[in-house]
Amino acid sequence: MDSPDRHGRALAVRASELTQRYGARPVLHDVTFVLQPGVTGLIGVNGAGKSTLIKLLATGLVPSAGSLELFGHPADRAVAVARRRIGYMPQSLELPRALRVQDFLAYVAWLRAIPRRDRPELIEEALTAADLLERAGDRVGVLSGGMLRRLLLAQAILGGPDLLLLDEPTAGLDPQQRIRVRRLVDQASEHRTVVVSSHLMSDLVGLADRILMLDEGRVVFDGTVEELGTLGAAVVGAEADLSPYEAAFLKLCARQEDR
Amino acid sequence: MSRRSGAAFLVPLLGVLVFAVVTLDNRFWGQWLWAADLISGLTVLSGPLVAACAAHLGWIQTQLDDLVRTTPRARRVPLRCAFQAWLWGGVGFALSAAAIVLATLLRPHGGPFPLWAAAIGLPVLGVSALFGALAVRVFPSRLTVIAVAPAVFLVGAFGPAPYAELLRQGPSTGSLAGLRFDRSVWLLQFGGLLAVAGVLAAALVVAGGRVRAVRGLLLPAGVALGSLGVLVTFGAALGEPGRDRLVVSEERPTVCRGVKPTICVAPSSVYGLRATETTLRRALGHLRAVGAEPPDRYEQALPGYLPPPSVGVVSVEDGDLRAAARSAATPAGCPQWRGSLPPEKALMAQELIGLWIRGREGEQVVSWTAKGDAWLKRVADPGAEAWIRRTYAQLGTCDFQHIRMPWTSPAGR
Repeated sequence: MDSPDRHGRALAVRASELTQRYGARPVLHDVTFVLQPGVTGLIGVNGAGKSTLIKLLATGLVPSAGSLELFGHPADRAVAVARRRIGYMPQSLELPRALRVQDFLAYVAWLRAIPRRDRPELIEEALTAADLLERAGDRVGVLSGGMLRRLLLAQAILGGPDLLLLDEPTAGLDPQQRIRVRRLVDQASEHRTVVVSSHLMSDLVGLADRILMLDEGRVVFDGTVEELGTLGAAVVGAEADLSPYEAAFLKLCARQEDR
Repeated sequence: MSRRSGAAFLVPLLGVLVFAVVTLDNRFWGQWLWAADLISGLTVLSGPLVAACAAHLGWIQTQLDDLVRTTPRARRVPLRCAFQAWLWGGVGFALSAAAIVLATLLRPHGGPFPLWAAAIGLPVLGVSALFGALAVRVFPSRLTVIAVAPAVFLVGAFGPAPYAELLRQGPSTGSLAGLRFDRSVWLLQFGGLLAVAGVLAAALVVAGGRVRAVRGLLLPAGVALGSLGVLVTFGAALGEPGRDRLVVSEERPTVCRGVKPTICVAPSSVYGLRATETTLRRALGHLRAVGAEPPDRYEQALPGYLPPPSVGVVSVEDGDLRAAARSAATPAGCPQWRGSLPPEKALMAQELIGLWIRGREGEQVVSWTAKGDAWLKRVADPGAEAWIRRTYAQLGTCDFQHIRMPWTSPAGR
């Protein structure tokens, strides 16, 4: 049950035939994969099931079917233990505007069961990593969109979780902010298992070691960025205005539609 | 969520408590028993506010639900909201208790001070907080935050007895001299409140996080069932006839002042002794002026004690002439006053003498009948004075059956 990675550690995630339905509507179908340390890019069009998959991995949802192991244990049995090792950045969150940045992180530290004595240091670390240390005393309501994304990222990396799940961390940001957030994610991904979802290939190239592509709730590609590029290079001649990755993306989506 | 979120509620909480205390009928300041009852009784208002505070904190949490439910403490979050609201409610409770104690100390004070009884306000606030947190968890809406305070108030005011009474721990609108808190009822109520809190907390834990396995339900279900059992058992005991939170005490009128008459009140009523003595002496002066003979001693009647027939009965009022006139017109603790049938003629005579005293003080008084009004207009008539002397003597000897009203006597005598 517990297949270790190449360093002998338990795999962060082993998903087997995961299925998720909202009512009668299926959102994920029989999704199977394992995640090892490194950055996995989760890509797909809007509504492909990326956020649902990330919520499942974050234990925010209970799968309708299939099995999910986190750190070598079934997620439904050791959920409290697993949650201590997970950092999750939701796609959007309505943060209380009157709250100060450091108070929000202090609250998240409590939610994560981080020991009280460690909190000040870890909060400072997270704020430094997210380049928000100078805004620690500011109210959340005065932060820009980019700063809010970085604050959400800061809460996700707080306490150094082993599994970092980032749902569209660059959504709604201008190019400068996107680059900034990408760099932060890159720094945060060292020695961790990171899943970053996006519907933009450009956000993941150079950041992800591996790409998991979803379409209509199914995994349509699972490989390295290079493999995706190779797949796209074959068709890029016909679509000269596209990058190999974009071409591959379109091709895989089209293949799924043909099924 | 943060300390500030809860603290924002402390200002209106204290505002409401100050308003309640200031606008309350304050005749009983100085009576420790009443003070204790007031401290716990303010939860009738602060409880709904604490519920609203918990609902507000819970509402903020629901905005963060996507994040919260992926964390190890997800199921504790609603409980934490309730706890924080309870904590702030407790701060308001402690501050208002301190203010009430101070206000009591500023006046002549006395009687037993069962501060322990006021502590029941804390579980009342706890139940209110849990109710607010649960309400917003089940109905996550801003409207719930607004609606929860009146809902808690209405449950306390109109809910089924004896359960609704758990939320109504005073404040009494009358003097509590001669009474005491019944410890057994207090314990039953305290236990009942803890049981209600147990049921609400269990429901909150279940509502606070998605249950991933049946065993996750076992502990909350066990707590809920156990608490429900305690609640039903204690509720049945509380519902038994004669179970009142306040029962007759051994307190007697032992604090005295003055001579001829000596006026004695219970230690709990010492706050009003001086003013009562002043107005009673004034009232008795009018009776003496027409030759009536008041008793040498007046004692306060208490729930468990009626002064003997040789002693007058005084009610402690804060310098109120109307009450003093009625006390003056009660020269004996006749057993008929507490008989099964009201001594109608004696009551009417007592009332008329009281009106006569107030008329002599210059008040414009009217009686319950035109004949009485006509009689009151000729109070200087020697015949009227004779009726006063005779009737006062009859009241003083408990000879109620021979009392005649002046308009039924020849020439109003």
